[in-house]
Amino acid sequence: MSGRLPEVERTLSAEDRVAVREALASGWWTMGPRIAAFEEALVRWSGAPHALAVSSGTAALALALLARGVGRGDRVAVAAWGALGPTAAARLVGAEPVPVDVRAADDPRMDLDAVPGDVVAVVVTHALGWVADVPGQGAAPPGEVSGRRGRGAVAGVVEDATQAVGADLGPAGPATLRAFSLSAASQLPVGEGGVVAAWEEEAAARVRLLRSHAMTSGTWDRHRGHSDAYDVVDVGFNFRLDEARAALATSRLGRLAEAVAARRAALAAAREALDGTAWRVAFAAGDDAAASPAILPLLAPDRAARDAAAGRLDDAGAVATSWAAAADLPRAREAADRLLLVALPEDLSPGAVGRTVRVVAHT
Amino acid sequence: MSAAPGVPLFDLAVPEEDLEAVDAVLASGRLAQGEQVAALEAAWAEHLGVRHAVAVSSCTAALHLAYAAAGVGPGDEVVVPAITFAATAAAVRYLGATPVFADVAGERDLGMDPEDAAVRITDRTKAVCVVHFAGYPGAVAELRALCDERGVALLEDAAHAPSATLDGRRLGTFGLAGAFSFFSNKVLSVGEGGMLTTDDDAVADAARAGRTPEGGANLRMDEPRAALLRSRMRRMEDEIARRRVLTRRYRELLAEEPRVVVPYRDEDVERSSCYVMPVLLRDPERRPEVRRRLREEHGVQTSVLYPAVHELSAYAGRPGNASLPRAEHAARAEVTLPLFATLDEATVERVVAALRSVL
Repeated sequence: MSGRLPEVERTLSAEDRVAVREALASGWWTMGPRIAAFEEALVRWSGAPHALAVSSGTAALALALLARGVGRGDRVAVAAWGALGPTAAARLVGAEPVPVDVRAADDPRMDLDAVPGDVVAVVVTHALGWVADVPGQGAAPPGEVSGRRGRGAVAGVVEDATQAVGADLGPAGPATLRAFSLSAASQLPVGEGGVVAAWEEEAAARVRLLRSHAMTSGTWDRHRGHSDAYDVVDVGFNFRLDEARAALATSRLGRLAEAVAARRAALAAAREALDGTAWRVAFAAGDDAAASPAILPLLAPDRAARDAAAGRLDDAGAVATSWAAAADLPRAREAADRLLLVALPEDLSPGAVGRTVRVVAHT
Repeated sequence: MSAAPGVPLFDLAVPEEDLEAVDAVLASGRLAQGEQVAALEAAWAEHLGVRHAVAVSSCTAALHLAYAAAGVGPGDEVVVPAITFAATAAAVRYLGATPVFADVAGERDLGMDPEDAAVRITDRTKAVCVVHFAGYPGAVAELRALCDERGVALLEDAAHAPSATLDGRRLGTFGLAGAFSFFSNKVLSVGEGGMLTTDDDAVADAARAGRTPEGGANLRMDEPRAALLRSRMRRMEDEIARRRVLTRRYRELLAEEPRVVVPYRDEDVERSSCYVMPVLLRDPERRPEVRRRLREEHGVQTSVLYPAVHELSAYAGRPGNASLPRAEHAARAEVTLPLFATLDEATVERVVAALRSVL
């Protein structure tokens, strides 16, 4: 389906399965010690002072936008290709997603120079796992990006890392907000799930509140029932993650670095295998070291070649997809025409990668 | 503090068959919505006697999709009861619309009062959402007639009421769509989960599309949770039967207690899912002390279902919010007593004795 990463079967370890079993057997299924443990592990993993487990990457993006102060009627810049999550998240909070062209077909990260000046927030997607420049954090500043809180150039930015779990996202600023996905297609898959990593305490508190109906009673402590007198202070959502999925995510987090390394090796094998053909892997090879590839992004010479390759892969039983452009913008359209996104299972050997790309490049 | 073990508000039994059902899915490595979800939806649709069941991430999500399918949008209104969990109203706000609160029938029936609902309907109303409080049927016949007459949709928040019935027909099937909850403290639980049901093909299609990011949000359920639900659903009817036995025992023991009102009637129990055991204190001012002493002196946990939504900060003081005396009274007087399938009658007796001693 356009915009969504292909889901492939994932190998779960014995430890993963025990973690889920123990979580379920405990009879404490929501907002308990396993969520707390997962969030502590995320803090260590992400470097953020605060991490919140939520129900999906889209929920993480929506909560991050709300923490940024985005509200009904606000305009939010999103990439015109590969930003299904940010587009949905903007609409979910009542905002208007404003598509911004990408840099090139072979570099589908947002062109920050093309961000209009009247947006309240920018959602920067670390496209397909490759790290994007973020306004106000070491990147050449775009035009004015106005933020409702008036905090200068970094105001109004949310990093969409839903495709980039495990990437080396680089230094954070004081107001950084990063959204991750734990979907079945993620590098850290649990089924459905997400994470918000926040550097500001106030933003973290806002996410924590709004993921659970803006109730002020704190966690749903099974040993106390509901607190004596809760209030609901805002319009919140049910964007909670449950204990079993938190336990699974914690278990898998321990192997994430290894999984990312395996994908980078497959990526290198793909670059080599396509050398001398009319195809290549998108992005510059120099960007691979920091990336956490979600898939193999293969750039065809043209749309006809891409479509033919997709057909051959389908015949061969390989999983691949392509995404439409969200707006009629030239580079987004070219990315839509020429990019073939080939699924990257964890156990894909460099040899298997070689075979797959030969099917693609028809060599 | 009592030396006896405490009595929690709810408890979860998790037999080996549930754990194995989930483990089998994990072993397959297929985590995203697939055949388990499809099988769950088919089983739920059959159980309710409806054409479509759409599994989602929560009852809040199901309400969101139900309101959207009813055409609720910016500037519209939805009539909801004031005694409900805030989600019934919040989901209206997600669509840019306004929840309009209706009073409840009274101390003996905490469901929406159809006469008051009739007063709340305006030319901006798109839907009325009835809540089947504690698993007892709301006034669906009267509300259905009202909605038909006024040209608005009837929706059902059946979070408390999987498997409850009215005139032999399952709750959740009387309107355009029904919304169910599988939150961890519900009659059928999975942690986080929900279901939308409908006989309307267009509503079902919209809900299936709406639960995906392409459709505007990720509200999907995944395979492990669907497998867990399928396993637990097999025991649901037996567990509800058990809840009814326990509820009857509570009612028997409290029948002559003048200091509380026990809502609903003995004959209502048979068609209820008996999600919770609500009582109303005749002296609401004593509630904080009653609850505290039950907890501290007897180890008995209680809850309040619910603070009146129109009095919560996010909803209070809005223009058009009426005073709703019966809901406001219920919100101050209600105490929810422990009730779950593995509770035993001796413990019910202990809870009632404890309650009597602190009233």
